Order: sequence, then structure tokens, then C-alpha cells
Amino acid sequence: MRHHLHYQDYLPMEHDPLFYMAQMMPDEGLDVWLGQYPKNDTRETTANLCLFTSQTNTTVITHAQTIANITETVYTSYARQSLATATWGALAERPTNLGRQTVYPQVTFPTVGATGATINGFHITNGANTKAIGQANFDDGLAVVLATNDVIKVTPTLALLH
Amino acid sequence: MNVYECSTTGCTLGSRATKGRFTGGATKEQITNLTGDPEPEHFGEGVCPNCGEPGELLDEEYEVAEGNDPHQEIHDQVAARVADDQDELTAENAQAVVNELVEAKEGNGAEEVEAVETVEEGDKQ
Repeated sequence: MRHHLHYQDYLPMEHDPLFYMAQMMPDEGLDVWLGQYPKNDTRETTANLCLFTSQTNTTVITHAQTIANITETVYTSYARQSLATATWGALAERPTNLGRQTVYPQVTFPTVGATGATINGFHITNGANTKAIGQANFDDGLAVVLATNDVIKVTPTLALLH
Repeated sequence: MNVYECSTTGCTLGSRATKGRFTGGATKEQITNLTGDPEPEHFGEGVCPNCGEPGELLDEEYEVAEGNDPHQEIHDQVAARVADDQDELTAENAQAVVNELVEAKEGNGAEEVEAVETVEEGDKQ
């Protein structure tokens, strides 16, 4: 059983205790953010937490790419997990005074059935699963090789920096 | 593909605040591992692989996003360099290199298209 990780929208500073992890808020994801504020697009009340097998354990899509360029895992029993906006944690400081962040409670994915997969990281999509809000590698920079009966847990964090 | 939601109190699937979802279902062996019962009553399609209880079939189309990255080869090349101890490229700089290579690749593509158009115009004259 492997426990992972944190999702961040920034490049860690040298003193950051985390390992380096690549992450990307692609254009289509930033458009969703800006659509919520300052624009008044239809409110996004859900999102999805997904696991991907494309790109690598240290790289993600480029800014102009989209959800169409991400391969979601198909390990046996896998399903993307819903994230409810009301469940994200209290807004808090991103230490130390880097910005603000919110953390979602740990999300457990289905126990792997007959066929596993190598997971390079995770991504968050909009409720309709038509746009990638963000994509990131795991914060230890390693791929997770899932075999039968393994369980992967992800604790996503979203941060906006000053 | 069918997708199910597990409503069992205490099931680890999903988060403590959001019901978890799964596809397929737990095998007999998985249920036996979970419960210790060698002859479990429920297993197979629709049975939660995390708690062994039947899930609820959701009335929605579930499709895995099987996207395709035309730059996957670049990602693989960069990853190989990061893994190579003789190469100075580290994980910290891997994404920046991917971005540069993709930009160069797409830039070269634009130049090729422009060159072809120029030739065609010349042919017309």
C-alpha cells in the first residue's frame, strides 16, 4: 500500500522539504479558474481526481495541451474519484507566506484487481471530465507500480502563490 | 463501462466526505482476503473491492480518458536522461527541457509548412 501525495501549483523553493515535482495548470485549466472569478461562468461544484500513466514520473503535459493528451489509468476496478467543492479544507497559509492553499481529505482509490498499472501522477479534471484543471507528478518524483491488491491514496492540495 | 458507488459506512474508498466509485468488482479471492470467508456470498461485478459490500450502479456513462500525447517520445527521452547518472539533467529541470523541446518541435513544424507554401506560390508563377 502506497500513500501519496500533495498537489501544488508552484515550483518548490530550495528550502522546501518536498522533493521536486513537475506540475502544470494548462491553459484550459486556468480558463476554468478565471471563469469562476472574475468571470461568472457556471459554477463548478464538483471535480474529479484521476491517475495517469502517460508522460513520465518527472514530467507532465505542456501548457497548451489538454485532457485529450493525458492517458488515464485502466487498472482493474479503477474509477476516477469525485471531489466536492464543499469538502475542500479551510483556506490556510502555504508555508511560509508563499500564498494560500486548501487540502482535500485523503482520497482512496479502488483496490487493484487482476491487472495493475504504473502510475506517473495524478490530475484534477472538471466535473464533466472534459478539461484538465491541473496535472502533477507525485511529490517524491517516483512512479507507483500498482499490482493486484494494492491500494493508492492521494491527498491533493491546491495552492495559489503571492 | 459500468461504474458503481460504495455507500458502506466506514469503507475506505473515496474520501471520508465523498462516496467512492469503482468499476468492475472484487474477485472472490479479494473478498476472502478482506473478510476471511473462504466462500463469500458477494463477489464479482458490482462488489466493492475495498470493503466487499455490493455497490450501487450509477446511471451514467463512464468512459476512461484514453488521451494521446504526441510528445510522449520527448517525455521518454527526457526521463531516460534523468535516469542516466552520467547526464547532468535532473528531475528538477526535466519539465523545463520537455517544454523547450516541444516548443522547438512545434516551431520547426511551422517553418516547414511556411516553406511548402512558398514553393507552391513559386510554382504558380
